[in-house]
Amino acid sequence: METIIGIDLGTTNSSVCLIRNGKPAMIKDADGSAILPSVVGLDSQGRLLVGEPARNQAILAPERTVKSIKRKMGEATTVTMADTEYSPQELSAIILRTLKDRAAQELGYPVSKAVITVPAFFNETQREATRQAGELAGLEVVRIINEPTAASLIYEAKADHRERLLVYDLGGGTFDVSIVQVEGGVVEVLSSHGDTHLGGDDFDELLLDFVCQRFQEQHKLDLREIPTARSRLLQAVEEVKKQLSFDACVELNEEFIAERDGAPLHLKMELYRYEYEGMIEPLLKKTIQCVDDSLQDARLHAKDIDKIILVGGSSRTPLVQQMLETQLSQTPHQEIDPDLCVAMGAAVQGALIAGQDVGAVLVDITPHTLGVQCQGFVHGMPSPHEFSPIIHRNTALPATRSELYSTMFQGQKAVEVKVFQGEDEDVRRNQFIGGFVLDGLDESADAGSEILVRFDLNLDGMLNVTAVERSTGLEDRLTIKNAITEFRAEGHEEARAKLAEIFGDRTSPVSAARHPVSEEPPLPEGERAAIKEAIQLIAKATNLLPQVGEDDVQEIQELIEQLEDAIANHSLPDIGSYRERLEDIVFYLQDA
Amino acid sequence: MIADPYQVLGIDPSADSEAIRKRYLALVREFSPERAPERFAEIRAAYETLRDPVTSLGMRLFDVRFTETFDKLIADEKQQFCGKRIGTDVLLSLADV
Ligand SMILES: Nc1ncnc2c1ncn2[C@@H]1O[C@H](COP(=O)(O)OP(=O)(O)OP(=O)(O)O)[C@@H](O)[C@H]1O
Ligand SMILES: [Mg+2]
Repeated sequence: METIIGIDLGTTNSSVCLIRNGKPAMIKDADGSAILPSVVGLDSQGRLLVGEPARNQAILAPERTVKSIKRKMGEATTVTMADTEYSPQELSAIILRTLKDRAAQELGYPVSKAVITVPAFFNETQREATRQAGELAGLEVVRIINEPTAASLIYEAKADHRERLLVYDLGGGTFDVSIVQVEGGVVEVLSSHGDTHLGGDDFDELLLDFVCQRFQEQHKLDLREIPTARSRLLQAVEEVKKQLSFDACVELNEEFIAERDGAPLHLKMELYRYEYEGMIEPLLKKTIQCVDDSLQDARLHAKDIDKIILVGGSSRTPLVQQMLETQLSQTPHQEIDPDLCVAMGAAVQGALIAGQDVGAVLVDITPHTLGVQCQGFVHGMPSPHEFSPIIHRNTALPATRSELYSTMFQGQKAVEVKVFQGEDEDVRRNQFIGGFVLDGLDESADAGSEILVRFDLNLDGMLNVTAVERSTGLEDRLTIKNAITEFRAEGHEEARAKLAEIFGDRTSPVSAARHPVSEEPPLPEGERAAIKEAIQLIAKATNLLPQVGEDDVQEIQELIEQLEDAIANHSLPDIGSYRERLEDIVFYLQDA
Repeated sequence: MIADPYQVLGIDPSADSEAIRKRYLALVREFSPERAPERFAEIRAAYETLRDPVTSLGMRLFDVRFTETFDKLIADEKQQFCGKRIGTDVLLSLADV
């Protein structure tokens, strides 16, 4: 049977899973870690870094490192990495390709098919971008499934029982809540709500602002304006944040975070859980509102929920659990691994598609209403901006619905079908998905010539639109035009070549020479610690530079470069020797 | 027009809601969205019709069956169009051409 891998493409962490002996098995890297940090970078020699090495480099070389690219998926934008522009699809493809290779290595044969997860609340454009990323990574994306839904597939329901689950997924960048009913071997999603830009990254930023403002009051210096200090602090506050899930007070201690008038500045402060909770509470309230909305959409009350399932790293926050408990009068459930269940569910779905009998049948829904713009009424007033829904939110997939419209004038030659997604009666407050013009209408027809618009929404939550003029049968099928679909049409080949180049594929010999393949190397605990310390040392040394003599500057800079190379190459002996030499100088200069 | 939902589900019109649900679940296991998307859509539509009288009306007005040709569909829609109060108010915006 063919292998279809399951991939959780997360904002912060990604992972890949497959079904072995009927059970989901996470695929680990050489270190034994199932999680690949969703960070991509290029080292000083232009070699590709993915995962932990890229995350380590972020502190020193933020300009050569990209994290949380998922937040930009679906935007027609590019991100600069080492002076080259990359689309979010391309950067996501690098992560997917790394996971694909990891799976192939484990299996001993190439894999070409995957189920990839997306936040339930991802819109059409974001889904399309994810699909493109998969294709760029050389994967056939056989299905896109929603993250909370995937998680629920892992839940082992009692046989012959109806269970209603509330899946609360708060990750690094996105939030979803879904209400799922499991019964008789069928998993049915009843409703979903969420926010595609709410997660642990936002909490980190809030904590960073707090820390930096305090530091600024003391030292009149905004650390957020110094790129290396900012990226170093961002990682530091994330660690503090995680620790605050266990301790009521955590010390943040970052030496040599900056310097002023030749004097090094240290950052040292105590952070209390209650302070942090005060910062994030407004955001968590939004998630609770989504919980309420999804209950309402499912026409259920809190007492109808049998289990609350927590998914995503940020759901470990004690305040999250407290607020859920207060709202739903029950304790959240923690049997399922909140970090891995999404990839596992994707693998289960993949195996099902491949024809294996591994679990329940899934019935999912669209969480957004889809419709077109028409002349009608908005807030009771005549308006050309009415949103006319065709497929309502929480409709089961696949879904086909149609609606009849008419032209406005006699002799009208064309109608413009503009597709929107959202819940507002005014299209201007919904998300524009794309559009097309049905041209060449029968001009002899009276005003009111009928146009049928039909929406087909497939299992991936992706839309096909057809418009037909009744009198002539004139028909047009929408390949939705927007910046992302145009990228597929125009930028795809170029992007593939670019990726082949940075991966050093054998198919493109020129680039293979320029960028030797940098397989993500194993990173044992000792090496990890050594790298971390080396990075701290480099930061220290860099901060000393302005206050030392020219000769020393040159020596320090050379050593820093050599040390950086050693880190990039993961050469433990080199790291050790350069570190020692740099340490000596720093020690000597600090004392001087 | 739309097929009789009882016929789609292969169930007696006297069936109660529990029996309808059981039958629906059994059919979904057999004709899952993955394996038989078109058949599933029919089953689901029939189930929704029987489950809720309000959606039932909506179904009859709006649902499109996969097997129908556009002509037939338009004829059906047209028939209902006259009775649909929003009919003439809903106009597509004029294209900028
Ligand atoms: N113990 C903890 N307490 C609080 N937050 C935590 C804890 N552990 C991890 N996190 C946060 O969880 C987030 C990562 O979670 P996760 O790996 O589930 O996200 P993701 O799947 O990559 O993102 P998304 O699903 O939003 O795309 C990070 O912001 C991380 O700081
Ligand atoms: Mg996640």
